[in-house]
Amino acid sequence: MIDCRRPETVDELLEIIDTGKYRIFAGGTDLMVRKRQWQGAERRFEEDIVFIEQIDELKGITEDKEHYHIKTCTTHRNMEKSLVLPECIKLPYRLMGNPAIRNVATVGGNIVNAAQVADSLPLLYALDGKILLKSKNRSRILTVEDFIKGKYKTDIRENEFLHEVIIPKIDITGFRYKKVGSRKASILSKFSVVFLYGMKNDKLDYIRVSIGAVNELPVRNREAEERFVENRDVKEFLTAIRKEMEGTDDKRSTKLYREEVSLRIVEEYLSEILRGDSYE
Amino acid sequence: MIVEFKLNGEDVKVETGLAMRLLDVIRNDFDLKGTKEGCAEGECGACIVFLDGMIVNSCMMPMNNVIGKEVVTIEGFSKTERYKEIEKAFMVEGAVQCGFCTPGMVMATEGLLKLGISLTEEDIKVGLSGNICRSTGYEAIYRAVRKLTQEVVLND
Amino acid sequence: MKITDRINRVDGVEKINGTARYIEDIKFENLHYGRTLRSEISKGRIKCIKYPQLPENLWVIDANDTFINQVAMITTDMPIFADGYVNYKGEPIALIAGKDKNEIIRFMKNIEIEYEEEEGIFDFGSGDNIFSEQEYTKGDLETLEYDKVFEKSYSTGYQEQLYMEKQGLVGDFSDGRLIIYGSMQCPYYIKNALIHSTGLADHDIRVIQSETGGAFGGKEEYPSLLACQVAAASMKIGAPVRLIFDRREDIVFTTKRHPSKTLVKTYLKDHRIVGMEFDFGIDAGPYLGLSDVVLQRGILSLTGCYLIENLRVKGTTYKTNNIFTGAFRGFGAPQTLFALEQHMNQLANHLGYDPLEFRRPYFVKRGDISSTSGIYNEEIKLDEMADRLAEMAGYDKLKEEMGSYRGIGISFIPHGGGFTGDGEAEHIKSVVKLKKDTDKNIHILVSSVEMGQGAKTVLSKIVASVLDIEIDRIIYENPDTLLVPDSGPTVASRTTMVVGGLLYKAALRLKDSMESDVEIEIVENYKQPDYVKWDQENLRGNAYMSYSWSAVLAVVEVDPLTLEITCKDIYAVYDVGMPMDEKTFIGQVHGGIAQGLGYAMLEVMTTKDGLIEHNSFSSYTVPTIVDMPRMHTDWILNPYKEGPYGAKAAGELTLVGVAPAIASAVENAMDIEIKELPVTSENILKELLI
Repeated sequence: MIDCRRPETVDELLEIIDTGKYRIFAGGTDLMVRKRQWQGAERRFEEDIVFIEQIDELKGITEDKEHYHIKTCTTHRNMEKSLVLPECIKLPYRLMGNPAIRNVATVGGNIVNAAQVADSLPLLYALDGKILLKSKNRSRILTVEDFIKGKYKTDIRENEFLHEVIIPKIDITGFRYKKVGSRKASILSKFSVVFLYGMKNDKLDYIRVSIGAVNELPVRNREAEERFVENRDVKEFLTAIRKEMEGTDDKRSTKLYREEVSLRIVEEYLSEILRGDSYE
Repeated sequence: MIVEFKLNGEDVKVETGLAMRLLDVIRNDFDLKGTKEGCAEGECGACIVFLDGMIVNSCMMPMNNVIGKEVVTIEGFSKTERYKEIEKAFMVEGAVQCGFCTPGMVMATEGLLKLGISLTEEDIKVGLSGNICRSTGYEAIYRAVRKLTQEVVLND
Repeated sequence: MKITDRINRVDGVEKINGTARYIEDIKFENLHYGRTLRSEISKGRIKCIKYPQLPENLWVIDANDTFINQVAMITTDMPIFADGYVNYKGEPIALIAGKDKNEIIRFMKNIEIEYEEEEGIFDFGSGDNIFSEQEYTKGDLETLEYDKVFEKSYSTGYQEQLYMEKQGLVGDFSDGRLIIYGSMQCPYYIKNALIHSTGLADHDIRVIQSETGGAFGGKEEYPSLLACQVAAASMKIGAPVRLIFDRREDIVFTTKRHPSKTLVKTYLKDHRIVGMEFDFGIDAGPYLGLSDVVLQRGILSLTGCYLIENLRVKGTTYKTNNIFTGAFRGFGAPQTLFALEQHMNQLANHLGYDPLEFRRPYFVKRGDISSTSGIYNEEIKLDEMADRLAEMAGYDKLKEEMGSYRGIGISFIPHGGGFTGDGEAEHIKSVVKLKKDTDKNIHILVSSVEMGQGAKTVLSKIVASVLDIEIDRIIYENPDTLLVPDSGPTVASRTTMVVGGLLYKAALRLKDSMESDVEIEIVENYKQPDYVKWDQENLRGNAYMSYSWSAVLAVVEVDPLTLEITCKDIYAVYDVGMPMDEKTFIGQVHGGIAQGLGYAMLEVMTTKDGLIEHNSFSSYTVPTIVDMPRMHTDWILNPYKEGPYGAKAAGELTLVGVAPAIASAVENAMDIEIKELPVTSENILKELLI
């Protein structure tokens, strides 16, 4: 029998995971499915579990002058309904899963799973999102990009848990988001594109482009972004991004489609800026 | 371990595992068979119940996350006045065929109605987008829900 | 009541409030659960199976526990349990049964199977891996004069029924008698399979349908396999055994719609079609099952709504080591009619005609000779339907509005009601009973099941209407073979037309005795209409006793950037004789459109080394409410004299025309050729870049 633990506070949680043998379990939307075996039977958990959904300290969205802080057990629904967050953060969450899933799926869970199709990852890549990891004796902050190591792979240590997501506030002049799946709702991404830009004194200050689900990890190229701000060369930017694409054909889509179409979308967004189209 | 929660208005206790699914517990331990397992992965909505007033898929809900909360299943909800309105609208519009998705669809409908009465077509459709029906083509369901939201604008 | 009254479903309330009882909701004393041990390879010999020490309360049921290890469908080539040799990945080898699911899982984890693997066949369409071929001709292609040949190939993929309730049966053997309960379309198919496999006498086997949460053909022949398995298990254990699939198991290992390839060759003279040639092939998987019958309906439908004077049609079922394929709403016609209709559209484009006007001169009429050289006996109103469709959709205006990335497409589809040829008279021999009890309630005793399509509502309504009584005086329980005669399977859009027709006649006979206080039972036997002549050997004569028709127009938009397809509108006109209940009929129409739309553009299903890759609701994407187009539907009245109140087939027809209409709309929008279903953004892109 596996051991299931139910701490009420973060301190209790830190004590429990300090032993290093617990799998952390939040909303359940991923693990309850992935570990199923048979209707009515036990899940197939190989390790002990610590549940964290009941810890109230781990819920909520706050902001300070420079950052948004999103606690790990904040649900997708909380995100989409948030009064604090800007639309560009809320939108991807609004398009994830379906209403009943969004009511329980957590922000932390989507990151820690590190699935190729996790839609929050390209968003957090684009926003230079960071996470706060806590263990009994220390805390560390690292960027989401450094944290995600591959498909279903992260840098989390055995006695750590993801406490919160920290998103730096930036001046966003406009954003675009496109998620493409095989139907119109309740769908996993074939790919998604997050696009942000900022203007300063009527001049393009930055762009940020992040493409999810094409590779195992989101694609973002800061150097190419900076180059684009300097030279406005759409082709060069697209070439730089294309070089990084290393997708494969799978049951959801093809390498050709993902790469070609995601780049077309990026091209369209970049062209819009160059044309001076204003975004809402 | 003993898990305590509120089920259809009553305080209940059940001996179960924290990682067991709410769906299995309500069906097997409480013999409430109106909640169905369709896809077993949160995509079809046949297992929708209310958890503290919100629709959730009971097929992916561990019992731990139910402790101390209030669960309402179709059996509980079907005793309300609001349910009777939904039943009537579903009957009149012909929103039920094989019936396997229907209790979940009713719960999702109530999830929408709870929000207030002024819902757009998109609100309704997005609200029901986690409920798969393979029989009706959704049109009758949509009409029933639209009627229930008092926003009957036929666009045919 | 009157047949034209608007009524609510008779089985609606219990389904809405959740008190309807499906097989997984029913309690049995001492219930044992079965779980299937499956082959991990696609083809090869099983060298040995190493089971761990069997705990006292667990059971292994395999081929040795069957009386005859064959599932009797049309043929008996499928074993109940693979016996030393497997032919597809996932083929059942044994059932492991017990009362504790966790214990069964633990036991199964430690089973080791050694195989001697052979190379499987996963491609179909060539080679000598053939189950059967069927061929027929009309006129004479050999001496035909023509000035041009237009030739194209088409293909379609798998489609999964994805009924919401998974496959599930319970077998309960005690005191020498076997009862099977569960989700099914054909109680007597199951009973017959059990007579064959168990060695029990006819009177010791009873099959009782429980509430069935959707089927679409998926519960036509497949439950016979499961019934033979739970029967063997229950007979071995002496307790009820329940086998309910998990969803992934259900998606991956049960029957699918056949993938197909069709070559269409049209001979033209002066821009007129003078002859056609078809070569149609389907992937049957490793066992024949119903594939030959599917093939037959496919090829018999191949000239669709058109009069073609010279014709050669060939159909082949191929044997592979993919999952075996079977019945699914439409039964071969969705594949062949996609090919035909797409071909007609491409031909019209090629010759520079409007696709609607191009079709008209070929529309079949009463008295015409059909593809199988039978005579169309009924009034056929395709021109009127075409007019109605054009008017409803504003066809001319719509055409003008179409431009790049917006397109329209049309299809015209026939669907023959009931079994092919003389199948109803020769094989099915339907019997119905109507009983008036002493309280003057009327009992409908038929083996037709309610599976969502509205059989209970429609058949009750027909009887109540003939007898002019309230519908709540009609009692129609789920079929129990002990109580109901064999009125045939619930398939082939035959329930309203054939079974309803028999009930209509029985009710007429009962009508005069309604005042009497004694119990009266009326038995009505199927009689083939005089005009039906059929030569099964040569596929000649009246392939179907009546045809229903549909005319469909789809409007699509394709996103210029992402190439995502949106079906904006479906316009559809039907001829189903007389709809017996408007609400039920429209429900069938909308549901058929949804399933057809899925088939057209959403439901991608492929295999890798013989195993289905799209194995869940999240990867096999059927339409959600957001994917549905606006649906504008209408019908013309064209009563069929043998059908109750003029009714003809309706259920399958509604699916078939959708995919060709959508496919040709995409073609119209993108100016590319679509020759494959489903139409996906990926394929459009590929086509654009070539």
